[in-house]
Amino acid sequence: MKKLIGLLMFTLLVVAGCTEPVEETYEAPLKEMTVHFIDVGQGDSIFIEAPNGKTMLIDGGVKGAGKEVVAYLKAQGVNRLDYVVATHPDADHIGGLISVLNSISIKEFIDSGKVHTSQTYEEMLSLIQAKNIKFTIPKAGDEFQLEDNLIIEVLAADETASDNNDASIVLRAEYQNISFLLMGDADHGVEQELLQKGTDVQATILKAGHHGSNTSSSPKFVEAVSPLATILSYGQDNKYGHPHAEVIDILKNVNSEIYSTAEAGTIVITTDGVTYDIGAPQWTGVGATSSIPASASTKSGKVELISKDLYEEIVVIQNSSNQSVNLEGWKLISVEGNQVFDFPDMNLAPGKKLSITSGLDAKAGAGTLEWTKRQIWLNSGDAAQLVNVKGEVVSELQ
Amino acid sequence: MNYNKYTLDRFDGDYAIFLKRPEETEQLLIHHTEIPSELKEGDIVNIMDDGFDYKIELLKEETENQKARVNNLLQQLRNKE
Repeated sequence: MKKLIGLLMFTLLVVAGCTEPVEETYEAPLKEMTVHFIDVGQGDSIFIEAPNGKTMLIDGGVKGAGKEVVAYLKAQGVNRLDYVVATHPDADHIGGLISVLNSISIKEFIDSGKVHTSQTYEEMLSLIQAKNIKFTIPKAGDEFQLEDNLIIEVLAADETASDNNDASIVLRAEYQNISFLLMGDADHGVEQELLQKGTDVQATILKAGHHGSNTSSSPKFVEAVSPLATILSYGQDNKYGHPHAEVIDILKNVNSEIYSTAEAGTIVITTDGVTYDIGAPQWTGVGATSSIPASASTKSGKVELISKDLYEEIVVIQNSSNQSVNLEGWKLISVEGNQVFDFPDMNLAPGKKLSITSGLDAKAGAGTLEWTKRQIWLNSGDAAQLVNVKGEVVSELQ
Repeated sequence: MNYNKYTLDRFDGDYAIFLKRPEETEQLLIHHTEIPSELKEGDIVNIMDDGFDYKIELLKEETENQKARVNNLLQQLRNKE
């Protein structure tokens, strides 16, 4: 799903600028940066990783998702976060940040400054204070720079808003020609204000406000953003009916591709500032067990077994190809005893690892699947085989 | 029948989302038609579920105290900014 924005812009500039001396405006690709929309169910958690290793985490999902967010970050090799943003104090955004504060060192904490009486918000502030973390309440126009070419601008922030959602810190990350607009739960009022102020909201990728609720993403605003792809961060079968049908229609009207964490799990977007790649199938709207995988992720790439721990009962596989692989129909086999694990319909992004756990400590989480609470692997030695959708053994560990 | 203490974390669509204090890992969704109309985000309440409907009592003083405490904490952090 590579998009050649740079080339398109170059062509437009050449056509538009034919009376001027032709100038080389094509910008060269930069090193890859990554934006992870972490699957936290009904909630938000977004992780930005600059090529120089600087990081920003925006929200952490509900409290129960915190451990998974931490496990996900640790699996990415993150031991320290440069910035953590709490867009607004609702529990489905700040809850998981408690675990993050407890487990990962943070250089600067950016808060909306909107007070909440929840124990969770108090706990968050107490931890920031106890750990002596630099604390910032930003204003519109403030910028956070991860590196020379990667600037994250605060488009909106209002600690005096009467509604928590309206207090949302809205961020726009720009990496040369590719940009991300991260709306938090900001609703129509905030969107209208941004348009009235003439703020540049155009973005390649939009994280739609408030989990695809019809209180956000007005037609005018979405038109101004004109996203090529939109991420909806919601939980399957939520009681609020997110994403709302009108929002889907509005997004389709501007020809935006649509992706959701509910269907695809964690969505990883990589970009070199010229092209971008979304390691997930597009949203179908028919649920997580959709049988209509998108074309890009059905091609079979190379996935291998990289480790097995017979005592801890953890087997790790990795997608070592450069394209996303859908694991539906794939199997993991414990050769002794011929126990078979059937992978669910999920995508493994390029380079990503996935753990399959069994035994008493088996559990599901970010990057981790639970096979069974039973012991599967014989401690005395037990080969593992990975079988692809065609039934071929693609990888084996003795 | 026991009362449990909750924070009204937020409203979303037709529902009010309450979090059970103090851990706030457990949430209770109640349709907005079943709660007193004067309740606001941030209110701390006692909720009793008798199996038929919810009896919700606003803990005004506790809400005010909590607000003051968090404001104070935020002020301390702000002063370090």
